[in-house]
Amino acid sequence: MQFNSFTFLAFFAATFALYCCCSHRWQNRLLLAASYLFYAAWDYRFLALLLTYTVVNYLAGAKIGGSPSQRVRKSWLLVSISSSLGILGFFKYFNFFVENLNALCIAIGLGECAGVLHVVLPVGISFYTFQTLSYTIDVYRQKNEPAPSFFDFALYVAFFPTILAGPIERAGNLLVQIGAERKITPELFHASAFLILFGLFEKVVVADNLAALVNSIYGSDSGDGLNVLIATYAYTFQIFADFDGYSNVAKGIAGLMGFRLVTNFNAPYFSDSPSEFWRRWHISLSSWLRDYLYIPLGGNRAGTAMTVRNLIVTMLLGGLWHGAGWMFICWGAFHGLLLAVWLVFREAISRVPPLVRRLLFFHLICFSWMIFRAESMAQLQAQLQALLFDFDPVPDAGQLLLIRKLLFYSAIVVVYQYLQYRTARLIPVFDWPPAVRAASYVMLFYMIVIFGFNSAQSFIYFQF
Amino acid sequence: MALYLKQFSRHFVTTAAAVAVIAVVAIELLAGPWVKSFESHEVDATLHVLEKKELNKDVVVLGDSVGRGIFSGWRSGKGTVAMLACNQATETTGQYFFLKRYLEHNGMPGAVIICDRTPGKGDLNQALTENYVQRCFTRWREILGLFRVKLDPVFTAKMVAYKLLATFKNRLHLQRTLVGFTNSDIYSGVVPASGTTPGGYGIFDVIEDEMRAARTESVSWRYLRQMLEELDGLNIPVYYLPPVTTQKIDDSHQLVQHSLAMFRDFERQFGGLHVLTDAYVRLPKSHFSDEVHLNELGLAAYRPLVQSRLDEIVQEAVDRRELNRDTAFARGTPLFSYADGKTLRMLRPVGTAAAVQGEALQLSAATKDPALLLPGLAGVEKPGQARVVVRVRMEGDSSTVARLYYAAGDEDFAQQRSLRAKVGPGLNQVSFLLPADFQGGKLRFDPGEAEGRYVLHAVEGRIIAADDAVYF
Repeated sequence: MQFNSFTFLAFFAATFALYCCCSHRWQNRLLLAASYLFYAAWDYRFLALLLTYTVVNYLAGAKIGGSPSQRVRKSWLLVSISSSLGILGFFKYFNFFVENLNALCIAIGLGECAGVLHVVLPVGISFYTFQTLSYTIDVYRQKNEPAPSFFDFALYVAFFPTILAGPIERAGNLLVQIGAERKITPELFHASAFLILFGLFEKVVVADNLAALVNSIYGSDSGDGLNVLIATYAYTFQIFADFDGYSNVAKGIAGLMGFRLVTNFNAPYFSDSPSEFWRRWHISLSSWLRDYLYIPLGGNRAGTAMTVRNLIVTMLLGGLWHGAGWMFICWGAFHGLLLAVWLVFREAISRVPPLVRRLLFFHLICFSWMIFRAESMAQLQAQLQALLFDFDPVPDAGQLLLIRKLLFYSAIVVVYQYLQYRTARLIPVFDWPPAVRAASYVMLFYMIVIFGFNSAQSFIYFQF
Repeated sequence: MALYLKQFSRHFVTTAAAVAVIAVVAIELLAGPWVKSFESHEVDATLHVLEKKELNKDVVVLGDSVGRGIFSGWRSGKGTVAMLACNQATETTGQYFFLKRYLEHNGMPGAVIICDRTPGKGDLNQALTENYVQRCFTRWREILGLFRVKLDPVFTAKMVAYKLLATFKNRLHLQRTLVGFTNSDIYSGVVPASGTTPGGYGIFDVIEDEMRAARTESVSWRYLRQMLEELDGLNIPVYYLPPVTTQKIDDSHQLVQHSLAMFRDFERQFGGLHVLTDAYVRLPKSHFSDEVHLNELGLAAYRPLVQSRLDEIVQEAVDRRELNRDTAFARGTPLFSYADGKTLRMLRPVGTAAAVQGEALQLSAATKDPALLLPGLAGVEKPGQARVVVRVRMEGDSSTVARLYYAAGDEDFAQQRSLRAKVGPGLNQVSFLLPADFQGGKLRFDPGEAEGRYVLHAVEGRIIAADDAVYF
């Protein structure tokens, strides 16, 4: 059940109508039931897995919070971490490691050592694993109290706007709001309605149409440099519009019910450095990696060399979090390298004019998406070869149409990001005069109605 | 709840969002007539024709692209056939909607021919269903009818969206018109992506599968039955022409066998249905452009094999409509005529009040069984197989069924010795062909099965020749 589907529209309309009629306590029960139904709409068999996560981590949180003994607290934390990561590792990485182990064994003449398992990756598992881990770790660090109610904690884990692809919420934000009476202000209502509209626009107009363009180029073996360049730009905006669109709709849906979720994106393509990029891109993941991986590894407290190591390790694992594949690891390594270079040559780079720096960094990000999108190193190599040695800057008629589509579909997202960046407002539309605002709503609506892609495409981040 | 309502009243309505909503409503109202003329495929085109033109043909052809292929180049059908056969994704449901719309603005056809590979099969779950059915057939009656049969709120929500948003309904044309983008793919509607896990383990998939398994009749089967019932009520003969298949025993052949069996079952229930089993033809594979559609060679081989049978059906349909246009009726020998105030007064009302007004007899029925007894017919003299035809011109307030009872002198009126005809609101002319062995006796005419007002303008009887009688 995608956010951009009529099925979800019917589901949410029914849930929202009931939600408006319930008291706070029943609102939470209703949301929990709706969240389980939402998750079961993907695959009902994994409800048991979700319940396992919930029970284990709720129990661990309660034991950690309720015990004065450091040893007991640490043991329960280990139970929480090992069970959560164990399940994630099994479903997500088992086959990857077995395949690589087999490749290694074959290379040294031992033959296949182990068989792969035909397991299906439960949707959203990476997100709710990190969410539950942050809960138990924060309870252990005494930043949060344990959840007062099992049902509230279950809702925190399974909350339907966030379960499939985040934002990865901390207990300090979402769990607290679940426990408290929620207040819906007109501002929140307006902002939420707009976020849903804009998020749907980003997804069905920008991301899905650009996806068709990208797939048509990636799917062909033409090896034309200009085509690769068009596809690279298109994918850069596609992945942003796809994930930002999802995050906006999730935030909007939650907002209509009085929840304030964290912001996941903030004009990332206008960043002029890798560290700024990671403060603006997938903020809930990057802050999670910072708080629960980078800082525990030592952060920047032990000199430049150790900081570089910590950055690269964090980004490698960040890459691996996206999926069990070498290209994701390479993507993480590339970002780790960018962060390390920035750390070491920060002063020298800062002397470059900001506009040049921003453009240069944007193209480095584009390159990182080439790594991310490539299915293999060979494909990446072929694309780079096409870019460098088979590049004809004069487009033919077909390429002109592709460029027109790229500009048409990505222009609004670029302008909107620029406005976000310039005004430092997440919804700059709200500063506009009412007539202009109304016109922009109408335009977004008709872009969705007329140019929304024919088939509701799955969100890219659901696979992670 | 109160909080939400308060926001709508105090804050929401006065903002830019409200202006935007009003603007969208205005644009849709203005865009409706403009985009109505857009056509993207044969369903759009056919609906457009049905709305704009009066076809008034003798034969209506329903079916899929195979049926369309067979009939489209049919020489003798030219000018007499309304081609409503369309893409297979419309299923029988779409064909039923076509027929209903046809009957709104056109006279009763003399026959309906169904030529379809999969009649009565399908639950409108095909990839192109959204484009061919949900997007096109968006009258409230059609939407609600499908909701009742299919029980799928998402399916209905899409139909409502297409109904309310003319721009959504014609989005492909607008993409072309507004920015010059073309989409070479056939628009399949806004298809939801399936879950990421293979095997259909989504809870809604499971529920849908269970519901489908529990339902003994498909959506299209129910509409097929409804169509046959209604056509039977209107006394319009229906012919099922099995589509041509290859000589191989394959899926197409099995489908035809299944359809033939199903229609034979229906044939027992509906007297006006004729299954053209003898017109089932199988040709070599070289006569097909694909597995199911005939190529030029195939059409050239196929047409002579069924031409004479189809010509007969068309001729009968033409004659039947002619008859209704008075000519054949006028050929007969007058038996009785109550066609003005003076003679209509002679009919005896039962269970209803009757009064002559001008040249007509007005009945005010307080019960659901109004009737008029006609003067007795002693010893009708008619040559050989000649038949008695009774024709009634009447007005009613609602759709109902008129019935003519006949009985020999010593018999009572009974349902099994009655003929029925569907009548609608307004002026109707209906004909009843009495059995060949009817040699006179009693006649009773029931103008409807509802309370209300009926106005009789004429009740006439004639003896017509056996040849003419065939066409009733």
